[in-house]
Amino acid sequence: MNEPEAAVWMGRLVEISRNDGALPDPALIWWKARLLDRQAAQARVARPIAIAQWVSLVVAVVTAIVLCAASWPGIVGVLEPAGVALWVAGAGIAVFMGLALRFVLGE
Amino acid sequence: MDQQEFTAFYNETAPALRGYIRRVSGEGEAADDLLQETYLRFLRAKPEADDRAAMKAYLYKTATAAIYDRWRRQRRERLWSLAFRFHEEAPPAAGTGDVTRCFQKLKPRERALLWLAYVEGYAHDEIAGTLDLNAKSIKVLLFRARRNLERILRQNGLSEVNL
Repeated sequence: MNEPEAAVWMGRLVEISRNDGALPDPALIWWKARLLDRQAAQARVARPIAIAQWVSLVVAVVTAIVLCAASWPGIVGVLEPAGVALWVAGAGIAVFMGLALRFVLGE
Repeated sequence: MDQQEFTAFYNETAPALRGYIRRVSGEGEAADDLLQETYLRFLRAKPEADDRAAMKAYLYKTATAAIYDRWRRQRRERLWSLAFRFHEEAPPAAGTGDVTRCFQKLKPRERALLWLAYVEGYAHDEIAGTLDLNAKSIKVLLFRARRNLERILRQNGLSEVNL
């Protein structure tokens, strides 16, 4: 098939394409693009806040671990005489704090 | 680019671009979604409104990227649905006639090459830029695409006699 023949076949496809119905409204596309731009700008503005939240979480967790490690003998000394109940309560508080932090950051 | 300029540019380019998307992607109704997606990406890239030809070339490049992205997404979804045995057969490609059906049997890149060369009248270097191909290879690729189209048309009883 030479080039003019290909052009004729492609012309037929163009003819068929002309009957494809009404095009989407350009005004709608324009406003949708503007809306997406605005959302992207808002996300850009909120990004430092989100980063700060994560940094504060990491600092809080690391501080808690360091403090626990530093005063571990004292913690064991307090909890051991009370038995299993206090250990379970301590673990429960830790889990609850974790979930609360996750919920706050998720919001 | 302001809204008025965009509307004028859209009215000038959208009919042909929809034809390109429809024929290259083989999508029927979804072609309009791809068309919108293309113009959204185009607008958000904040194009300079002074070079019409460059804008049009960028538009076709964006449309081609949108088509490929859609295929990748569909492939992922198909794999996912196959994994859960909920796969449904995709509807047949859009086609309103024998010529369209024959065209759909070509490879996507061949469809894009033929459309850009013989409908849009793009030069080889413009096609290369739009499809991210080497400009030197366009001549050979177009020759193969024409040869394949001819073979498919023959197989379907549509030969040069019908020209």
